Amino acid sequence: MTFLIYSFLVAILGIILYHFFWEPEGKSSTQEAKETLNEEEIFQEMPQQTKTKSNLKFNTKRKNKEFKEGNNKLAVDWEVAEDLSTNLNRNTPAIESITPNMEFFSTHDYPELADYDLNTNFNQNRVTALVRDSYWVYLYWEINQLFEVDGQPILKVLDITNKNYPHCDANSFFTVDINLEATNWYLKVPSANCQYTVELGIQKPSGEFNLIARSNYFRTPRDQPSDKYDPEWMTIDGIFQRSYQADGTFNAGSSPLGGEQGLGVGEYISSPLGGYVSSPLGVGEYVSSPYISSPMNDKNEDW
Amino acid sequence: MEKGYLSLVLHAHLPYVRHPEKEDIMEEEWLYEAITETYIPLINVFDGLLEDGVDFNLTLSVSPPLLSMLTDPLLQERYLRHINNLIELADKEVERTKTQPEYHQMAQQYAYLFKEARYVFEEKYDRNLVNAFKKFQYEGYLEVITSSATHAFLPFFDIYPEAVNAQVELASTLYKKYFGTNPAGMWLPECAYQPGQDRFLAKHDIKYFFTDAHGVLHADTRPKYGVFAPIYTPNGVAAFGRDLESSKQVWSAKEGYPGDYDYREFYRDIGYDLDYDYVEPYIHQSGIRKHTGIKYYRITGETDYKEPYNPDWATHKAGLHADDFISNRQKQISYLTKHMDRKPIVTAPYDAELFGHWWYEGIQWLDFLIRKIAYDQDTISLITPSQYLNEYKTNQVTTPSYSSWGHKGYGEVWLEGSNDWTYRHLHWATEKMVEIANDYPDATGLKYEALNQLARELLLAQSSDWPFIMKTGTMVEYAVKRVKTHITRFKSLYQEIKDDNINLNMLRKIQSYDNIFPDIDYRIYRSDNISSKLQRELI
Repeated sequence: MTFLIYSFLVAILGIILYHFFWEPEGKSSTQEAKETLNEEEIFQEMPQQTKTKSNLKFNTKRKNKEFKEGNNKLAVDWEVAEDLSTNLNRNTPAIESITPNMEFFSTHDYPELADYDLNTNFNQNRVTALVRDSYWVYLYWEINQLFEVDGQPILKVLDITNKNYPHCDANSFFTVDINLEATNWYLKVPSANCQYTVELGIQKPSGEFNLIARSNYFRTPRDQPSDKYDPEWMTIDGIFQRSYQADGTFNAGSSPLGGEQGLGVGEYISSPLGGYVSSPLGVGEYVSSPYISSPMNDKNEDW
Repeated sequence: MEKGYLSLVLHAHLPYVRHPEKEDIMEEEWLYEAITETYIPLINVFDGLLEDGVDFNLTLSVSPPLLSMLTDPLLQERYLRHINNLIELADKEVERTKTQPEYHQMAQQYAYLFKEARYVFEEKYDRNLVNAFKKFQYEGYLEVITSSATHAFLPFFDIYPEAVNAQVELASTLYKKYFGTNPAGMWLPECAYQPGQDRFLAKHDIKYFFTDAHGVLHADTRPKYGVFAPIYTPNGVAAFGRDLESSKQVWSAKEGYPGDYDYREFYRDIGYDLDYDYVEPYIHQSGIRKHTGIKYYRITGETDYKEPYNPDWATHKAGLHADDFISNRQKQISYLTKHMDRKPIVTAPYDAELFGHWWYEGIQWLDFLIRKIAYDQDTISLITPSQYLNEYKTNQVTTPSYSSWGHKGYGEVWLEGSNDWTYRHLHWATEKMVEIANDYPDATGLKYEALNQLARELLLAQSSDWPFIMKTGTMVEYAVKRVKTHITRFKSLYQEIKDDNINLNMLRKIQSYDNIFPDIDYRIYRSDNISSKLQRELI
């Protein structure tokens, strides 16, 4: 009986929510419908969606921005990417997996929030890359306008480490045949600590490559310690003068950070220790401590 | 004189779950359970230490969603109702177990603890537990820090610097509202760091953050002291790397303390074990059984066979485990000091909810640990990151690597088959938020309110908890619906703003539902907020 009453309430709530959320979106419903269409229909739909010139204009703008953004990041990361090959094939310390807290809480399904199908469109040709780890990248894309469909859709994966791409050639690239309709892809890249971009396009039978969209520039993280040893040092003085005072109170706002004195970026001092030469650890080592086993382990070894 | 330092960091966070539209929403109980089993017991430990004059230094990160929930009158009211209900059940249990000595002692203990919790919550801290944290900070024992606004996995929003900046700035502003000062440090959600994001921390005067061990170990210049001293990022923010050994001893299912056979079994709860008619008033209104928090068994072993919990044995073990933890830190630090020209710092961060809620005896363990460190030895001292940076002002400058503390160490937990679909929508909304904030430099009236609400919907959708839940496979439906609901609310509002046709009733309704960051100003998403130097990088 209770269940019937609840079902009834949920149904009413559903209708109300439908009314509130869905109706205002009716205007964009034509745009949204298309993502649910199957592959051929997507291609048929495309010309309609890109009728407006403003859209095209916007696309171009956006791309330029991405190029330049990439360039600048490149400059920032310039020094990082030395001697990749020597970084590979070493044993890294095992990265422990941890279980954050959410799963410790009791669970229940939730009838109140309506379950909509999200159809989201940027109305641009675009491809976005998210770095999952040192060797895997997740890509999602959207295509609204296709000049050329005669050929094989591919992802062109370019290693642009230390390169001012696209003004200079990439170090290397490889291609992956894809299905445009997949709209997302997990891509394996060859190297950690490299900068890449991915170009989505059509490879024509003649060999010519038609670019549809270029991704953000991204860097895969190291999976090994760096080979650069010479430490630089920075002294930040006074930042924590505000910390705990004698009476235990905070003295807010007295920090020089962001104030007149500046942070002291550029206050790099050369190592008082003489860099790695005088390091007690010797070149190539950093401090680690031996694994200390817990005496409790023995008993519970079998979990 | 100590040879080195231990920095214990507890990260307290729950996603923003507040449903004024309905009573008895089970997900709200995450908060109530955590208050009863973790936050109040922690507060009691700290108060006990204060009373006994024990010196300690601890760092506690309170995420902005949690801070908002702890200070929300509706949730405070509902917590009181919840704890009263629990007290009623516990009293019944005392009665029921009268002839069962093996359970009776625990039943009495629960009844006492729940009543104590009600007193601490309602009377001692006036329904607002933030008052307690503020007090401990003021007294100089606890360093309270913040996390990003809605606990977004920041590396996945790196392509939208305005959004990362907003996550940091809103957290900092909310912290200031409640603690009256800038947060000294920030717990980056999931310990996830993307090179370059230190500039947002520096901009908001945040002095330090934490990475997982390999975040520091894989820095672009090899860290001379490994994770046993902080490094400075190029923008002068300190990064402390997590020590894996001390983490493992507490976290690991194989080697960690919480799995000890004498400790309380989490999964045997009277909400599931007792007669349906008896527990019916205390489980979910729809009749679904749930955890009540009253549990009578110890882990016992690997099988389903469970023996009654013996609180004395468990307390004894918590003491032994505290000794063990200290002795391992002593060995570790004695070893490290031979190789370092400064005192090493061992950074040990944990989810706060591990203690008490999941590892019932974790609270006692922490209490023992702090007292034993203070009185029983002099090799190690507790320290906060601020205090360490005050003592050692010169640190190596290098850029930490992209990393997180999730399984496999990078982004996979929050980016895999179950949850990758969310990013297209989240990025779209983020991009639109920046665009619309740039398009409306000085909206007023209803439009201003609608734009602010738009920002709230975006923020709530960005929480890393949703992809995490989708990945772990429990409560998936709730997480999926939360993302979809916030994105849909965003889309609907966005269209209304663009059309200059704002549905007032709808806006008021959403405002009352998603009321996080009441003082938000949508212009935080404008591109001119990030400094001209940052903008140059982008243009």
